[in-house]
Amino acid sequence: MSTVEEALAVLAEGDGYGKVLAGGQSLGPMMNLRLVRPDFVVDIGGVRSLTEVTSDSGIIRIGASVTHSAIEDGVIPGPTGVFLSEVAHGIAYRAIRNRGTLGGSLVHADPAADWLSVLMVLDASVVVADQDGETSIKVKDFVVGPFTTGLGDKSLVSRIEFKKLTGKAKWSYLKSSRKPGEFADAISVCLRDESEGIFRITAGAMEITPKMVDCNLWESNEEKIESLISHRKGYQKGLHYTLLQRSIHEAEN
Amino acid sequence: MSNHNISLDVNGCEVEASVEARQSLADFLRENLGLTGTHLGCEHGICGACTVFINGVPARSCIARAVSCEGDEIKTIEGFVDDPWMEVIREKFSSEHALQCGFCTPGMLVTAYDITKRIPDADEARIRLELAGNLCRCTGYKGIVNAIKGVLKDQKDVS
Repeated sequence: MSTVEEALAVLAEGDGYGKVLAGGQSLGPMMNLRLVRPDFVVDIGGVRSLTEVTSDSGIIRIGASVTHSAIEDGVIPGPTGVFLSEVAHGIAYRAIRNRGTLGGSLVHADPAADWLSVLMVLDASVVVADQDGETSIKVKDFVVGPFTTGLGDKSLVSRIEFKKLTGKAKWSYLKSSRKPGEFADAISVCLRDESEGIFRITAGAMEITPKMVDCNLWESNEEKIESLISHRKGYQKGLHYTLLQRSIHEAEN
Repeated sequence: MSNHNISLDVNGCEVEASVEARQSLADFLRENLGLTGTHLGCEHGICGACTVFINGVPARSCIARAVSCEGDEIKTIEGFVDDPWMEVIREKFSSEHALQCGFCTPGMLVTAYDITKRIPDADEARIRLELAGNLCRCTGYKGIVNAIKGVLKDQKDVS
């Protein structure tokens, strides 16, 4: 498979339940553990066009097959790239990051995935391709539940797009896990850019789709945080609470 | 399950084979090519025992499919036998007691190779962070960390 068109054709004509294979760092383990048993797999590893990063008129477009390690190493330009590089560095382990892709992570939609919460706070969109063309959907609408997206059987994600951050942007990305590299027990991402009127906070790793609030709409930190984690209980709630408080504080300074 | 013909470079040798789509790269290396230096621990990407180089960077062979590696360059622990830099790392692993049973060791050595080449100024905290994806049940990691620290220190002293 060397083009998106070829991949879409195989997906469309395939017999039975097909899955797209990008980096294989989520689908690979799931197949090994027999958690998913597709009838056929479409390997898009050879599709070069999905690894491009471009930026123009204030929008950054990242090909779905860009790896976490490429992002960690600075393939995305500007202040946004610095933010995303920090996030990428904390994903799993370098061996995973060398193969795992942004698009793959998004389609897998693990509630504890780093990119999910971050792409939401960036108000990113995902561009979905099928044989009829391309459609752009906001990430927060694309991800409908844990491990569930609105991606159709004959479609694939071709890129992720969002507005560039300005030099005035401040962010805080925090995650809590027992040891580095594990899936998080709690994630908190806060983004603040006063020149653009942006002040958002996302709580992730809550076993449901990450939740985001526009902080401009709330008075106190307590209210903002409670709106995100009211459904959590006990020590888990405490963990989220601490991280969210810290995030808001870090993004203010 | 249908077979696919693949052609790839393993440790500098051109290899051609017919494999099932479901076969992992690790199983292909171990069973088809007899390269049993690559070990299987968890078979879902967490433990690091299966770590090899794919196109010059560390990757998990347990979750890679052999068919996905068409045209790729694979380097297993066996492929590092004559590598002078790996020789340095191996000596330190030996002198710093970085192995006991040896099960995690091939994965540790491959990861150590990447760390020492990519992050020459890594301190202990960074070394431990980068090693987080390689689990060891025997050593408690101290010897492994010390070995890598030793390699980096010696390199600094030389330059």
